[in-house]
Amino acid sequence: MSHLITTGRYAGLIAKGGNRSGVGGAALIPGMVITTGLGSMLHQVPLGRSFYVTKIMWFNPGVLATLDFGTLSNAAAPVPLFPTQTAFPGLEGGLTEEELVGVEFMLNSLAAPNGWDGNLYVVASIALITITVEVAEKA
Amino acid sequence: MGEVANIFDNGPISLIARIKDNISVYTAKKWAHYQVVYTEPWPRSSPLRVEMVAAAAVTFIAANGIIAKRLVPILQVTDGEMLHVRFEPLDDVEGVVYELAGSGKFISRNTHARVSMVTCLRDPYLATTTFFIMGHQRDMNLEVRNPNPVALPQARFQFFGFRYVIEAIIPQFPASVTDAQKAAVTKKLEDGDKETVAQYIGPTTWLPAEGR
Repeated sequence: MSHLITTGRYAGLIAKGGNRSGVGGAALIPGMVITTGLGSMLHQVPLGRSFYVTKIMWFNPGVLATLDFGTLSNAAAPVPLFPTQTAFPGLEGGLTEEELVGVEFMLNSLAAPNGWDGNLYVVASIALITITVEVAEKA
Repeated sequence: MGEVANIFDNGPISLIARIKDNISVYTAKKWAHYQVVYTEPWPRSSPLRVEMVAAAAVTFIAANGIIAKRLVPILQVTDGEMLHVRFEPLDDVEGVVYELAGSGKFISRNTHARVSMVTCLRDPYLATTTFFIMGHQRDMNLEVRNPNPVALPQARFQFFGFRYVIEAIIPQFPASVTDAQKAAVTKKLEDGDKETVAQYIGPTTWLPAEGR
């Protein structure tokens, strides 16, 4: 479990794995997401909650690639919320709680383009990168 | 013995009455008076855990879905028994408590509170989840809600607390008391009149076991 939870820095959070899996984050069961080269959902925020990302892990079996983690605007356009990450070919990579900034993912229902859906997405430059995330939800 | 049991204080669960103590229980809109004859703990353990997905004979609780309220057999008691229970979900679901199937517990006029995985983070002893079950055919029903936008394969709930064996107290009247006077006293006992209870029942712990 994340250091963030155990130290109570954000007391009152539930740590859990991302709740999407499969190609593009399509499947409605928690697990590992496989990128498509377009946007893939990594975690969908439950109604009435928000969350922080506390850990991201990936493996890139392909060529040199980039990963942009963020959310989706209500106009369905990707909104990066962390700096672009490089995914080196044939290597695993990751971001821990200390490296990630405390962006709170939550629904913003303002009309497009100002609002966003609050879910965690990744836009990968290539397909077949496998990604898992850990989040801390707040009720 | 406190006049009002501090059952909802934010601390570890403890007995609300000892053996030979009296309890006065608000149930079905009147007060009933009992003596505790036996108590025993109900330790937090696997037999007191219920998996509501399996109990409902389904394979998952749907995304943002509900398992309709249903009886929890491990919480059924016989007449003369009373359970004093706290609980929490072990999976990321919310529990909605009903006294019998028709009346909600933890309600106000316009809302029905739930117990979630987050409840214990602000209320570590789960004091706000305390409820009681008294006697046969007065069982609680538990509804399960999944707040997640994904289906979950299990929805486990853990219960723990105390079990009491209780006996109804029948007031003793002197031979000179008329039936009308007895009826008047019985009515006052049901109304929870403190002076009458002190005279005919003795010191008692007032218990909001059922808010009906």
